[in-house]
Amino acid sequence: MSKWAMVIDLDKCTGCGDCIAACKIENNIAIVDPEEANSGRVMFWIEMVSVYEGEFPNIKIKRFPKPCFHCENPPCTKVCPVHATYKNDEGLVGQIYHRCIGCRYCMVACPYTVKVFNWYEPEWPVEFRKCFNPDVSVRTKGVVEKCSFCAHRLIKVKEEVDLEGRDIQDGDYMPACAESCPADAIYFGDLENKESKVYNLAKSSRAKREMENLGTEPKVVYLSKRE
Amino acid sequence: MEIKRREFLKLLGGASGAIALGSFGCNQFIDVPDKIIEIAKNGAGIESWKNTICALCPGGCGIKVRLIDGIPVYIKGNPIYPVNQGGMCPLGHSALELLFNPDRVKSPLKKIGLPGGGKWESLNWDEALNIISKKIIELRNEGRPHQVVFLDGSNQHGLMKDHIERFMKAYGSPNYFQFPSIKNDAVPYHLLQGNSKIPSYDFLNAKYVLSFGINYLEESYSPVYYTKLYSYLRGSTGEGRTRFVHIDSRMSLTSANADRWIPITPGTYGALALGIAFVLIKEKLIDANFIKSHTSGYEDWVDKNGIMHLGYKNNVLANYYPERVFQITGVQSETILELARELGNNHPSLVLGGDGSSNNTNGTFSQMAVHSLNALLGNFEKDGGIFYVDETPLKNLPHFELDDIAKQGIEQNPFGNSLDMAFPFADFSIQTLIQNILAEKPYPISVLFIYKGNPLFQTLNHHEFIEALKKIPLVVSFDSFINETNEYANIILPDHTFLEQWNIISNVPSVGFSHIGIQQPVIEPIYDTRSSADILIELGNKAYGNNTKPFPFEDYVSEIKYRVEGVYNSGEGAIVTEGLKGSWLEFLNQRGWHIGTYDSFDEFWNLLLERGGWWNPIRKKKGFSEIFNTPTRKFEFYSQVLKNRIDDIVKKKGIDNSTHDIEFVLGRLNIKTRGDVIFLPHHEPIPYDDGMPIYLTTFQPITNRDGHASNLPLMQEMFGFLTRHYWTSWVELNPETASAYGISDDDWVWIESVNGSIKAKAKIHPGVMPSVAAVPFGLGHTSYGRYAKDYGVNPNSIMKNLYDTINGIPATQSTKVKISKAK
Repeated sequence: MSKWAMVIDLDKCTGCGDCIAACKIENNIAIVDPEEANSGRVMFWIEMVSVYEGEFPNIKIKRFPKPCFHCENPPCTKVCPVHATYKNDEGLVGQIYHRCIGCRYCMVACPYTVKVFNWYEPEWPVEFRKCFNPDVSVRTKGVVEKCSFCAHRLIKVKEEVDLEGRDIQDGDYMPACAESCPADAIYFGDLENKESKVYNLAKSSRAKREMENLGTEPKVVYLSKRE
Repeated sequence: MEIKRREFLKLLGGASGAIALGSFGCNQFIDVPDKIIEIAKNGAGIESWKNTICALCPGGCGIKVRLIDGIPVYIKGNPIYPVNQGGMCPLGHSALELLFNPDRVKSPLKKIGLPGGGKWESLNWDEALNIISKKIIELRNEGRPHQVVFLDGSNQHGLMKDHIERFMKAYGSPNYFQFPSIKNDAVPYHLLQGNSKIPSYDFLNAKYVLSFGINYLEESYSPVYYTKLYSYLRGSTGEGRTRFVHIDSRMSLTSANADRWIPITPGTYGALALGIAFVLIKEKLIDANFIKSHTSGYEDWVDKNGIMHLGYKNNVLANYYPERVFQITGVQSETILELARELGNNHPSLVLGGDGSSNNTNGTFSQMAVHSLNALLGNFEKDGGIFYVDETPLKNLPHFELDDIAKQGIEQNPFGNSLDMAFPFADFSIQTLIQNILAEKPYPISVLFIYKGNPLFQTLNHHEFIEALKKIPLVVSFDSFINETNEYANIILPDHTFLEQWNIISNVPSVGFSHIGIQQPVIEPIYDTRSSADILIELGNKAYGNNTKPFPFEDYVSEIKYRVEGVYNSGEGAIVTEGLKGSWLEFLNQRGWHIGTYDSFDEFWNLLLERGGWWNPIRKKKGFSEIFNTPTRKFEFYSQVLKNRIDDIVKKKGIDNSTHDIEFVLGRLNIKTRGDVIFLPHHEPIPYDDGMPIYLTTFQPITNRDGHASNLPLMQEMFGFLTRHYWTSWVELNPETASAYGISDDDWVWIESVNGSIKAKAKIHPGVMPSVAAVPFGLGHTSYGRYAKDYGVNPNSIMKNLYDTINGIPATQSTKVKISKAK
């Protein structure tokens, strides 16, 4: 069975924000009211975190894109009272929107704060409804959503390789962020496939996992020469 | 009949939803029954992909648009297009919001009521075009075609420029201007090298890259191209990795990613460059051979009249010792020593400047100082150095014999020349345009065409520009939206968005190979819009009574097809293709092979549409005499080009070269320096206001660029994704400055100049120089649709009306302000 994982090379990432835009368009993520956005209700499935280090003028900035970490041992699934968030056999942490009751326990449990809540009915002008991605359902008010590693793309890839009568190869399945990164900083693949890029990169001496001590075993690995 | 999805897919013989159907017809591969097509349309949806070029910034990235049943739903980078190699920036993704934007102009509009009053009535196309053609034919008949001015703000590097130029020339007007103008950007190179080309930089072979203010990962000509180069270099491990050092007043995206960021006082980049030159010269870290053989004005010299002139070396040694440069720039003298030693000892090393270092009153002189370091290091036409790409082998437009009216018209003084002899090297300055319209000199303007762009939003001289626009009898705007500038138009002709349009993008400046990209419609126009290029063909031919035709083409696509034949005929380069690297092409070329033989031009053209573009990574090696077109055929530290121009102005002004005349001219040009130093790279102080303690600097976030992306909701939301300011402006302050004024994070702050004040939320972080207030540009629209209007503030609205003294670029970094916590 595959185990899907992402490796983000922070030595290459410039922080341009392309991943955020690609993700928002691919997944039909709602744009919330400007005032609500500034009070912390903005919805990004992948966001850019900046941390300044050092004293002026010797400043360094640590910047990293933060999607859902798809933990092997996810804290969020354990607290869901209705089994709306779960981990599947291939290690993807999924979200079943119509089962979600909006209690937001999972948002509290997630140590990486990657889940977002639909405070309002998402609204789009009629014109924009034409260009929704037909592969991804639009959410309703009162449900939690988060990065899915573009799981809808996996479904398509599986059909594709099935028809061609072959196995999934490294690079067949790419989430939108990894596909369009201009710095080629996001790698995606199967940790169980020893030929895959992510398998080898995740073993690199530069590899770091966020808050490893919690035992969540995140499947998003950062590469960085810096501490 | 029920068909399961799986069976349906098998029937189509492959690739899941990704059914490779032709884009216009549906059954190119196999014969699919109509019934199944219908089911597919209501069910899974038929997917197809089309290649085109993104036009949301000048970068010219190749993109692939995903269409479901012909409707674009997603955009990704074209992996085989060499400029971006599959990469994109946030802007590109939101192109769908441009196409389906609810605020698009859906039919021609005519102003009713007062200019700027926001009242419009719809016209049909015939009515709209009749008004315009009647007016322009009348002007021609009266022998006044030169009174038509065409402003092109599309900021695209392609064939549209030649197209508009042909229209204007045939019509009889010398007044076609692009803004921002790349010729303006190239003025510092022109003064030193006599060559108005924007150079390309061989990052891949350089060991050390020192950049002055140029935010190449975010603001410059092609951010994705540079991001690709940068991340490739950063990804390589080992000792020899290129080191990036960036100098900027604010920690921009480029500074944040550099190995080292050097904060500097705004407007003093030139002084720092010359401080580095001081150390290079003192420590003999210069390329003495290059300087001796290929430069002039380095040492003191004697002219043909026996007069002694100051050289670059002695000027630098006398005036730019590190302690003094520290006083000017705020950069420690030890740091200057370190930078110079790193630069001089890591061969090959590159120096580049722009953006923050050029948008000042002293911008041209600063860029000359920055670029002079490349001459000290002999960085021309070598690995890891500066080079110039070849022109694309496009066919020229067919020759056209102008009639007498046109010949007379284009002989008239161009409207872009300044009245008071300011900006001697400006290709175009908005300030000059405003003044000339208001003064009706050298002649009044009867018609103004504006093709895209929003100069009124960007200008520093808002009120006078509005008065100027009101003064012109007919202002016609070709655009897809009503923005601040178009509010003052009499007629708006709605253009297609780039996703519905034909165009060719060619040779984006600073990209390291010659290339063309095909912009093709991915969807039929969704509203009653027309291609501006086609309208110009119609108007241009009509002006000649359709007897002889300036445009012997049915439409713009036939014209670009005609011109691309030149590329086909040349046999050079190759259509972009998978897995074809520049080095491999070069290898084949050396052995007398070339990629791609096509049976016919049609085959070439179809493949071009399918793949998205053509490129030629093989560059003809250029001799120094080709890249140095100065009077001495050398790199001129002492700019004869500038000297000759200023002498000309003085001569025109007075009878002899009296000191009085020279003083008068230099005063008008706002040049404080005197003597030979004027013509050497030097630091020219900026005329700040007394009593204003804080430098106001601006930057353009990648999600908005020059303010044109404010009508895209996703880009508005992402405007401050790094600082978490959505749909709003903010001001970045150093903790030291903030505490001096009692300002905390998220406080509202008043920023006040002599011209007015704006209010923004404080973002306090150490990534900005003390005494600097950095405000993002792009928001603060008073028009431009529901997503743009009334969000954030426009820092340009409080700036002093200052320009680069030489090339007339708006000096957006030269205003000082007061700040205070808003109650």
